[in-house]
Amino acid sequence: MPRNPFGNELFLPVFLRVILLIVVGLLAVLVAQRRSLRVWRRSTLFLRARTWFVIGPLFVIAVFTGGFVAFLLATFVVVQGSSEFVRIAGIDRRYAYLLILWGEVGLLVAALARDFFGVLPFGFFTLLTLVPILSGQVQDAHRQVADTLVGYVFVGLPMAYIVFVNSAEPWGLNFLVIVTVSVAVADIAAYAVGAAVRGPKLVPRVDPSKTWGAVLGGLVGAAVGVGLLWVAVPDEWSIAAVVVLVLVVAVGSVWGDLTESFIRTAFRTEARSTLLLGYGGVLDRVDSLLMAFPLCYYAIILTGKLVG
Amino acid sequence: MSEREQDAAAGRDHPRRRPTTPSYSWARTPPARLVRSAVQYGALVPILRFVSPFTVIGKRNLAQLKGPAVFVANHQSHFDAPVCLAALGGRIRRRLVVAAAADYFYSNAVKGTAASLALGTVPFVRQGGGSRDSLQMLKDLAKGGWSVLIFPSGTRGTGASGFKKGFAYIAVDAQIPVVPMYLHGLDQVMPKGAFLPLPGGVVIGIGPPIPPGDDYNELVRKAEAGVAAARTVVKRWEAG
Repeated sequence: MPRNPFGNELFLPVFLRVILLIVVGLLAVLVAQRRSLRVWRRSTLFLRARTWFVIGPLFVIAVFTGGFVAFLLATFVVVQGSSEFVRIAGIDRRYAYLLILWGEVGLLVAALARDFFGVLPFGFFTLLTLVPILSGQVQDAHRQVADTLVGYVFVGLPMAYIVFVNSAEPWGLNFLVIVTVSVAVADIAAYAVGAAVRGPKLVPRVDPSKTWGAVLGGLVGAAVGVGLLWVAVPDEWSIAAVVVLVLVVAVGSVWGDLTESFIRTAFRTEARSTLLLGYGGVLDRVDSLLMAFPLCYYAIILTGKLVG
Repeated sequence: MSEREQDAAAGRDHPRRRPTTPSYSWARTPPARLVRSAVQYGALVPILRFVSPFTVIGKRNLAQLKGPAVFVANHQSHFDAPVCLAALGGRIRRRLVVAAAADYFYSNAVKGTAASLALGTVPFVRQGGGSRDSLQMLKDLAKGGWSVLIFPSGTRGTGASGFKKGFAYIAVDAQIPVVPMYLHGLDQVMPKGAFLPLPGGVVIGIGPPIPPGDDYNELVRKAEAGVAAARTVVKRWEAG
């Protein structure tokens, strides 16, 4: 059931911080660009800031409201993200519909039947094998099954993780907010610092635009993001856990970016969506989060066991 | 050859011939329009925004319209008409009919009724003598203050060329402007032959209204150029 977001004492502090972050980001763009209004309005950074003005508050409200509101947001990401992956990989429509459907099943299982969460990957593989078995079309089926599984592990499963952690852990909501905002700040900082500082290229054959400067920017951004949301850091987390979290957010967001880049390179496609102004598609926006979220979760659990 | 067949071969109307396709005029009565508004605002537009979030470029061109117009667009999928309706907005949608292929959308009464009620479609016979009746009906509607949305290439999977003249007859005879539109991305959402849509973003470019003039061929050329120009704007926008 949806909750009144104002009933949670974290809502207002987090909401105001996210708004502050976007306003500061927009001002930074204004100062950095120093162009005529007409040119400035068409710049990528401005479009990104504008997109953030919509999705930032929307995300915070949906997460704190929970229930079907949060489920709708997660559904949107799963449906659009999976569809984009289908276009990138050139997956057949029959497999594509199963990918989207299983993404939704994953969200429901993560929210309502957590004991069955571990069954999701194998269950999906079993379901996919039914396509060639029932249709009799086996040519290229191995590639279609494999590519669809990659799509699920890249988009659907991490989204189910987000719902799972949010509903399973007492600090799930705090974790979700901290990691999401930190990854977003790390992404923006990586883009801005990477463009300003440059430095040697990270892995030019995978993503020629990604530099060590961007990695440094991502690390600073992750630290700023976690620091900004210090108010949401649960008491039971040790300082070591928070430090590890910052590092894993920084590494995870770069890793997620590079994963999407290598997938695009591997499939030799430039297919992009126009869903989010300045970003292209949903996948461009959430790729870092999809990789960073599970990594951060296990990093926190592992650090808790090692330190605590 | 009978007299009727000779007339048909010579392109003449038989004086006693009656329109073969029903006009579904009940779908334009106030109660039906009310139901349509509720369906479009309550279900169609929100679902479209979820399945195919769309960006409209050039919507300010619609502000120049003071009365009815003929909207022409390239045709990519069965999603084209609903997306166009959503993109045009409530003000225009309220008095707009969509020319829909009679042989497909009106192949049975249930389909035809649902399309007429939810989308405001009217049956358009694409071939044979019936197409003249369809054009006449659309002209009458245009003269009565209704805008018309039509895909002048007549079939899906075509670009911004090869437009048939039907829309020009409506616009010139009713003396209403033509508004060119370019739809981008719908061929991936629901290509020809697909049964279910595959979600994805869509961009719609709307060009400035083209005055009707008095030359059908010239108007067809201008409309094709208008849709091509809208395509250029969309591609430029997409490239950032």
